[in-house]
Amino acid sequence: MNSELSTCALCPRLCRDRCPVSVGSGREATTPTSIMTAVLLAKKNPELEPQAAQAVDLCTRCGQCTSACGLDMPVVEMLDQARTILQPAPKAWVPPTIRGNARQVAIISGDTDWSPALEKLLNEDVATLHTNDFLGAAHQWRTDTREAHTAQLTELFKHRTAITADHICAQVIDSTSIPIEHLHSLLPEHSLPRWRSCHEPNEGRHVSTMTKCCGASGPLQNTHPDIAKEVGRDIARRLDGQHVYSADERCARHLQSCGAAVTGPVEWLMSQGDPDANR
Amino acid sequence: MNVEALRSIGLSIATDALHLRPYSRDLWPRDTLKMYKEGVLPELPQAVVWPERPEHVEAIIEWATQEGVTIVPFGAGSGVCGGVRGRAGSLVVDLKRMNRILAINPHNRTVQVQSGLLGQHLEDQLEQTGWMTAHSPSSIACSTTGGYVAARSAGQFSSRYGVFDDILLAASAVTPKGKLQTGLWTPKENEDLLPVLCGSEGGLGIVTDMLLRISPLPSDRWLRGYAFPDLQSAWTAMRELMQAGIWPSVLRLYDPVDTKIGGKTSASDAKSGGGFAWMKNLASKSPFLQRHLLNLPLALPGLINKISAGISGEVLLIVGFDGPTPIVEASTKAAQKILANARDMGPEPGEHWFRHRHDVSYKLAPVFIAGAFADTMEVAATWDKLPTLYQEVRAALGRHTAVMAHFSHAYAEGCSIYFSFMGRGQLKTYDATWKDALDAARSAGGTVTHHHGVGVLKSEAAAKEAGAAIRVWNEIKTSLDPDGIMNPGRPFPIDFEPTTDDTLSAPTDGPVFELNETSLLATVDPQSNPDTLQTELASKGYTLRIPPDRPFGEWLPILSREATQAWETPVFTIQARFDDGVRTRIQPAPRSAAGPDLRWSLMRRATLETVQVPIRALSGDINIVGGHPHLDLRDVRPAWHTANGWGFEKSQSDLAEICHGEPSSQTQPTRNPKESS
Ligand SMILES: Cc1cc2nc3c(=O)[nH]c(=O)nc-3n(C[C@H](O)[C@H](O)[C@H](O)COP(=O)(O)OP(=O)(O)OC[C@H]3O[C@@H](n4cnc5c(N)ncnc54)[C@H](O)[C@@H]3O)c2cc1C
Ligand code: SF4
Ligand code: SF4
Repeated sequence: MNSELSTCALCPRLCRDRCPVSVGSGREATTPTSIMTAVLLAKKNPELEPQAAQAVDLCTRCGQCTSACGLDMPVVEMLDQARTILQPAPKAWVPPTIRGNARQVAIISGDTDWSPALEKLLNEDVATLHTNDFLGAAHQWRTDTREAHTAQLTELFKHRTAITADHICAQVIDSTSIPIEHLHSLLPEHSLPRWRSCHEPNEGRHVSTMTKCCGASGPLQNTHPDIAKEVGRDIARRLDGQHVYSADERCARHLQSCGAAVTGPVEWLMSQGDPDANR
Repeated sequence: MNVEALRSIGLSIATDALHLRPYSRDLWPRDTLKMYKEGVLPELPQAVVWPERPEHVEAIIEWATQEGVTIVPFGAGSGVCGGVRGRAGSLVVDLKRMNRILAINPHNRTVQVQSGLLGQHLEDQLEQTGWMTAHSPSSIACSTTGGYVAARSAGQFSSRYGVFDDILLAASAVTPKGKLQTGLWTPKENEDLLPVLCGSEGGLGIVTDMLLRISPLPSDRWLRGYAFPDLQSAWTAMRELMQAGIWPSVLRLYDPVDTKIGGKTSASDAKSGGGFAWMKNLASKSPFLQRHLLNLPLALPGLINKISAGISGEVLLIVGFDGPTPIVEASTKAAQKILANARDMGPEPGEHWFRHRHDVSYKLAPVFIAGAFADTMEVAATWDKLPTLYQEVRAALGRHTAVMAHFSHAYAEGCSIYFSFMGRGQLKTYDATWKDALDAARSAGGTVTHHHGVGVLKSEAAAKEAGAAIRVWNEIKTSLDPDGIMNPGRPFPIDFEPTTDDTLSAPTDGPVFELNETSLLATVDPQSNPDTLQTELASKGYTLRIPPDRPFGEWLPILSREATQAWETPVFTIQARFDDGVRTRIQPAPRSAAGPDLRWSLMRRATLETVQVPIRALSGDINIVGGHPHLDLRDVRPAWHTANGWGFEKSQSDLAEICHGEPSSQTQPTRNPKESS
């Protein structure tokens, strides 16, 4: 761990051009190099631990740094390890209740319950699960609680398929063997230009200059909401008024709150095929 | 410091240690060593602010002037000499939210950008429109356009596309005395201060936006490796390639140690682009090897360097051309003639370098983790002085560290040398290494920095290099930043007493005072009529490379930025005399990043006594009036220009074969200082 930390801490910040938080906020503290430096310094100077504990949350877990890195450094995993050491463990997770017996479970993580509209579209019953902590995502973002949390989730979703419009929930489900469907893939086509978010396939270093993560992911938005907003505002400025579609509702909502015109899958589902209906 | 006034105008500001710590230093290895080896944390600045518009920068500087607060402009902190250090009590101004491309103008071949844009993002966005600046430093992913201006950066394709100074056409800055427009944006009656803004390292003001030259993406790229029996023969080939006017985009020669240790003359196992690859190879084998093999060169640098010096055998030169296909075809054909005596290793070494050209930056961490330090030093000299500069600096570095080098950024007049060295992780060793190396570079007649800028590391050496011309800097600094709030001590130490060079005297026996036939430079009388100069030079078999339409002393001070192409340098060393009789000489060797280019402002403030200008051999010129149906004349090197098309000299007959048209006896046109070529 120390040698991995040092590799990033001594790196001239070679992935900074791909890190959405560094690019969007412009803040030096958000580069993987600075985050790892903070962790490394805290190891030697315990009085710097509170800073390091904050620094490890300056990340959306988008993984762009690792894909840009010539050494494939596993930054997300390194930060999970650091969080385990630097932050107190969260309270034990109490699994929410799934309402209904249908095989497919709509995970509702925002204000809008879109399961009736989905039932109508699919013409079949859909069970629902309401979560206000993204299925206990914080338990996945550290190494000491991950295993027990995965077991709880596996038990909760036994023989069921999760449907989600929110990629934090999707990432949590993805780290288990629970079958998953993305709401977006169940919806009819639309004509809006597509905004590709960070968890969609990477198109290579030179393809897009817009960083793909909007800032609304990982621990960043919970711990540093102002910085998450800075990242979203940077993307909104780059979109320059263009109306786009995001396959992820969470990104869409965040970007909307930062002044961008973005339609997400829930809005698209609720508007019954007219992306402008809700504007 | 009461930053609330700034917050109230909507600026983002941080004052907490989490956000301040990264602004306390850049990537100067000495500070890294101090922090990790000695556990000394640098002091924190008072606050950091992120402006989003030029008006924000104006408000910040106005506020700082009123409050007497010191400002440290910050790009991406990739400087390697200590240029950015958010010192106690200072306000760091991080420009990275000013990261927009404002306009791309294919017609004029320009792009206007803000100063906080990362180099990689600029090239990515230009690439989507079919253009590029072609400025590609190894740090492209982690450095900004503002940093390139401030520290006079050079990219890997500089031999064809120019260093950043050449790519830059205009810049706006905010100084404590208000807005400063430079280059092509200079207001009519004002002095153009672009050459002084470049290399000012935040010491005059904050660069907010700039106008850059762009070139079409190359339709062709050609890269090949050539093995030479020794450095001398490879230097000759590099020089001939540059002086033939065929302008390769890449010329990269590895010294015997770099060639040998990197295995680079073996095309099959050519390793990535130089630098610290060998150290990493050694260190990565096992923890045992990491400890012991790294310790050996560190403990016994003298021995290791002696063994290295004994390494004979081939050296590797990578040659690359890119641009429009007809140009690449013509150039490679001519180049192969010059390279005929070298062993052709095929495309692989060059293509391998191209694929891995940024990898070297990952190879520093293992050296520091092993308890050592690694650093680089980039010096430059004219071709005649290059061998001495190489030997002297290598010997100085080698007294303390294990060292190797490559030669890149070649010009018709000279070349830069890039030393990579590794030593024991002690500040004492680090400081002794640099002291000796900087002294050696100066006494060998080279510049102490070709493109990494000055920072803290080289500020004294840069001031000595500037000599009495530092008066010019002091005057401009005082007029734009009277309270000295802008990045104090950069690039020159505060209150540095300008050194005078008593060996300088009035030149005699003009109009051609000195001819440097190796580097193709003539030191001439700036008052002399160009026709007189041409006659005198012709009698020695030479002609001016860029013939002016009036004496150099009148032509140079009013030269417009556009009048020369990125890759043309109209003047090298100048000597001038101030009114009080003090003489000074600025010798850019052939190009330097040791602070700003003070020559242009010096010309306006002192009497020019000599100018050193580029020449070329006359040897039976012919010009082929050419033309190519798909070729924009701006893609053709200026050396090939004629009044009506493009063409070649007899020495470039290979090129001539490729283009269409009839030989003509045209002579080269003279250049008007205001004309755009
Ligand atoms: C791995 C690595 C490889 C490198 N390779 C190269 C290379 O190939 N070629 C090369 O030229 N350099 C190279 N460098 C050095 C470095 O990238 C350059 O010096 C670069 O120009 C610095 O840019 P920056 O944006 O990081 O500036 P910073 O380091 O942030 O600042 C450098 C100086 O410029 C000033 N400054 C920054 N922005 C502004 C502004 N807007 N207005 C006024 N002053 C400002 C700062 O105060 C400081 O004095 C390399 C560095 C590293 C770490
Ligand atoms: S992930 Fe790679 S590129 Fe990013 S800081 Fe770490 S070592 Fe450097
Ligand atoms: S995972 Fe994404 S947000 Fe986190 S450090 Fe890497 S690039 Fe930045």
